[in-house]
Amino acid sequence: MASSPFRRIYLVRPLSTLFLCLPGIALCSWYAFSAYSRFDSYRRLADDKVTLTVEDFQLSLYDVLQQDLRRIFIASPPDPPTLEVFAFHIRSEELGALFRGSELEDQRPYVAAKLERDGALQPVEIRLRGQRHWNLLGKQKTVKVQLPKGELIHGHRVFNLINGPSPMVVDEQLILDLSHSKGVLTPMSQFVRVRMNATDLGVYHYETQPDESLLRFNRRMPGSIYSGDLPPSAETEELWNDLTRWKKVAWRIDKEKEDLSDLKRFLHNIKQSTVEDFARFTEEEIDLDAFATFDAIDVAFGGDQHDFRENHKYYRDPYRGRWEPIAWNFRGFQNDPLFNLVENPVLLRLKLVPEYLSLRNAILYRFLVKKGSVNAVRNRGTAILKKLAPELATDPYWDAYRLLPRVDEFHREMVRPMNLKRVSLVFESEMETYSKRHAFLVNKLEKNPLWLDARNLGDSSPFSFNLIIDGQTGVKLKGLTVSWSPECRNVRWRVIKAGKPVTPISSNNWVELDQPTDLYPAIAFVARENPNARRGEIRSEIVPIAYPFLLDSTCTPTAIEATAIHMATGSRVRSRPAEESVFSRLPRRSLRPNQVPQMVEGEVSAHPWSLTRPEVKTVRLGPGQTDIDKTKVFQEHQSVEIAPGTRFRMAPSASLIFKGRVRFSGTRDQPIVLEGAGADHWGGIALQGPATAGSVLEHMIVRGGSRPSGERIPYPGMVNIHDTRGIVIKHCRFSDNQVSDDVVHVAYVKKLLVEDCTIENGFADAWDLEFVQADLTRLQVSGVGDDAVDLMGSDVDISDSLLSSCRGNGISSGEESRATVRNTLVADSRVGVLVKNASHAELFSTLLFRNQIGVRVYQREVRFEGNSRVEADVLFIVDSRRAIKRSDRSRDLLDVGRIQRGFPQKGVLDNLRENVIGIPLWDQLSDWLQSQIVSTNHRGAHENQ
Amino acid sequence: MKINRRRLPSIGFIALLLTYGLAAAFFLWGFSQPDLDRVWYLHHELKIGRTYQIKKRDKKILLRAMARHRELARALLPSGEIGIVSENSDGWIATPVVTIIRTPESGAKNRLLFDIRTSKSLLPYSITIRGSDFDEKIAIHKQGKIGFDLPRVGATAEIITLRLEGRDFIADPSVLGVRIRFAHGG
Repeated sequence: MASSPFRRIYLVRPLSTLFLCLPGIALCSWYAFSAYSRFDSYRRLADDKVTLTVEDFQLSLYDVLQQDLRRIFIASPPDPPTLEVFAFHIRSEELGALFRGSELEDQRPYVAAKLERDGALQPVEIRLRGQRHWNLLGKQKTVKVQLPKGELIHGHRVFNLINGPSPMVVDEQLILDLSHSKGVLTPMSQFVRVRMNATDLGVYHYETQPDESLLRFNRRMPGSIYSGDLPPSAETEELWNDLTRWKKVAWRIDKEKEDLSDLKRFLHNIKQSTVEDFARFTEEEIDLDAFATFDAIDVAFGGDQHDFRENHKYYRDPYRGRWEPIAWNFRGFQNDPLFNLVENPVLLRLKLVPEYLSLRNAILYRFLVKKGSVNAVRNRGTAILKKLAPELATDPYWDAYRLLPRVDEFHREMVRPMNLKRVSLVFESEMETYSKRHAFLVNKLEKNPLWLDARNLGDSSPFSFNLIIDGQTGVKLKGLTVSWSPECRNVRWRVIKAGKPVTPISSNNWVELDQPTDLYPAIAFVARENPNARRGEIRSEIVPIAYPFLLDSTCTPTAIEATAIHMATGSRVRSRPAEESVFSRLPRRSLRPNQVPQMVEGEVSAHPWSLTRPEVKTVRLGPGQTDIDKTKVFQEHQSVEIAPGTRFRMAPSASLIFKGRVRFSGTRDQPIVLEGAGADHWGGIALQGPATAGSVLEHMIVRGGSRPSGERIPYPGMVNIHDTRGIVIKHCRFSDNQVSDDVVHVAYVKKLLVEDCTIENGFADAWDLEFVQADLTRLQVSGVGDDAVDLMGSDVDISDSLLSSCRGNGISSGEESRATVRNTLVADSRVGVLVKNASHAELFSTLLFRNQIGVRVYQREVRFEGNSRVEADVLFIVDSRRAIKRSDRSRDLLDVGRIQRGFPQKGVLDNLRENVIGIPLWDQLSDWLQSQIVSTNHRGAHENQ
Repeated sequence: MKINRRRLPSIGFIALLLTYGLAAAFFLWGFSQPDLDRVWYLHHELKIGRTYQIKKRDKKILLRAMARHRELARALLPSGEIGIVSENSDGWIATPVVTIIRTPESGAKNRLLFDIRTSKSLLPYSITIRGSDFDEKIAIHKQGKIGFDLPRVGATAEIITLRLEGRDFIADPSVLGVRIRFAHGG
């Protein structure tokens, strides 16, 4: 008994007790300390005034215990991994330096590390990123990774590995995916798994930086990108007044790196331009569709991140000359009864442009009933979450904020451990919120905004009435129905707007407008209920707006009803007599066109009819000699007709810029000629912008020019066609350009048709097509300083063409281009066909003759990933020093088809020989090419005389 | 194994028991779900209709948490000072048991407006309205609008439970056909 352990414990002495109690005390102390430490480190970063309560301590202890329990039972990560793995190796002193970066607000130092990819170690630099506690506390820290110059991963040199705090996990990814599918500029983003020094850090959100790679990823030309975020210590106004608060993170060419003039112009217009000037600026320099789509997605999901201080990133496309927003940092799934949960100066200015809200809401409505429908969003989110679930379930450090009710910001933003039960609950709950928001928005958008105010009709003609728009969206007014008193006989009537009849004279009850008239909604700035520095002091609110009309008639109307098309839904709507609730909200005054909005409570958008819009008119030029002494710009509203036989004598550096439709109507006998007035080279011509759609260039001879200058858009070609569609170029001859990179430069053009055109003696490239969809038929190019056809991101069919004597490539298909080449000869060039950077060329019935290299394929790991392909049936490569050279494959072969190194036998490629080239035998090809050079030189000399 | 009953345990033994008892209590307390955490779950489960009958224990937790955090009641409401926190669509209830919360600031907005659109085949039925210190039953015989004045709100936030008692009621807004709105009392 004496030795019984129970007895010994029963009678244990105090000193022994102390030893026996120690493990229990130590365990409790350890957890108590861990809980306190967890709370305290969060408190220090979030709000150091918060005091520790028993409730908070228990919460913290609960979280620590739950997290440890989860780690004990957690499974290993999926093998093989379902996500891309980024494994970093970093020395302990570098790791220490990395973590010390958390103490700095900005200018955090990069530290050296190695990234393991495909079994190789790649040197990288990493630094901490973000200011919030979820970026800096805990094991999972948000980092920015930078590769050495020239090294890329997924086409990007710099990327972020973000420890996102969202309990829904997939929300931002889902919104970014949808934004990208709607054409908004978005960073590349996906979920990845991160390991550091063999420690699994779990699931991260990979997101690329807004830099040139983002532009390539979104198929845009390199241009300026500005990023605007204020540190906590800065005043809100600084972002909109001070250029130094913006960071230029991308530029077109190196010499523009320090040039902030485009940003200065942008901010000046936001803050200081008059209503009318801003409307013009929007028309010419803002991609309104892109801003409206970006805004529509923010509205749909109840986003609140693009506020007065943060998350502003804008890109200016050099060739379109327009600004676009970059979709960045979305957090949504909120349903306050407002369209925009937060606004900012850019958005508020855009809302003062009459057509903006209707455009935004039309895009929003289409989104809500298609890709943004509740089911579509739910399915998309579920698919991402399902794929991610096995990875999340094995993430040892998975945590999130908003896992406590909104009792205060401190508790709301407290980061707590996550699990699959919580994520599924949050997902369902957020989808419920989204479904409510969806219903709220659709309901508001579908409302008929059209009201009739016939209170002051009067007793005699003309009878006056107002149509009132009171709703989120405007209408296209189509016609009016008027009832007449029974005694009225032989009525004749019409409708007058701003002193001009807008309908024909009618003798019955209905009249249709000559052209539908757009009636837009209006906004007023009202005080925000919950103002702060981020949200600002004001927000916009829809107010009714009256559009006055007169009814000129022989009888007195008894009732008027307007019929219109709803701009968001496309439904037919009819006016209803306005109610007192509408009249009482009609603003007494609104901004004048020459006023600069002060962005203060009480300001109301200017009446759309007060803004002067130039009338569409036709400008006719020629025939005969027309001297152009200095650059002439024809605006969007000017449609230009150029008569056959017009001969433009261009002064040095003088150019013709067309922003509206132009028709060069030359004929075979009376071509239109553009040439220098003297020996000095003149500028060039440009068709710029969507209003040029449908332009035609026919039977033109353009020679001796350089490039247009003076506009804010860089024009690389003698002839430039940018940002438009449906352009036809036929029977034109372009030659002898000087200085400029290209003879013809085409960018962002859909449906370009080129037929029977010749380019000779080009300074560099002949046809330079960037992001173009085109058919090029019966081209002739000879004697150019670089490529005959240079493609970037384009989809082009080339047929029945003769491309010869190019110092560069006959056809260069690069950067995800697709070229289909038929019945074409490429001769005497450095390379016949070059295919690079994830491009695709299909060559049918084509002969590559006497080039140094017939086909060249390479894959440069710069910006574009993926294999290039060259396909043919039989490709004839004759008398080339090397038939094919591939750097992307171990063997020099076509991907599909074979190469024949001799001329085609009879019956093969006869169409090319007889009809396209026009020789009876292949033996004569060499002589024919020589004769082409002679005739080109002869023609050049003759024309120069 | 027999312990001499006449001999009392040592102080050390008592200290040992106390220490490990307290340690066990500490961990039990640590592992027990904190009120705010439970309220967070409850809030989401009610919102999506996963739960619609709040258990007594949960009700106590919710009341306790609302008493401790004045902002909580408002945080649980979609907007305003009185509203439905269980699943609904613009007031059209989706569950036969409805949870309403009102804050002390709801003041005179204490009238429930029922818009009854329940299928005639399910009529008549009754609605029991239960608050912290009242329990009323109203009989529904026909479609139409009915108002019910709640007693004055107290000093703390209150949970009001509405229970539809009739035949074949399921958690489906199209079957229930009842919309609840809130107005200032008469």
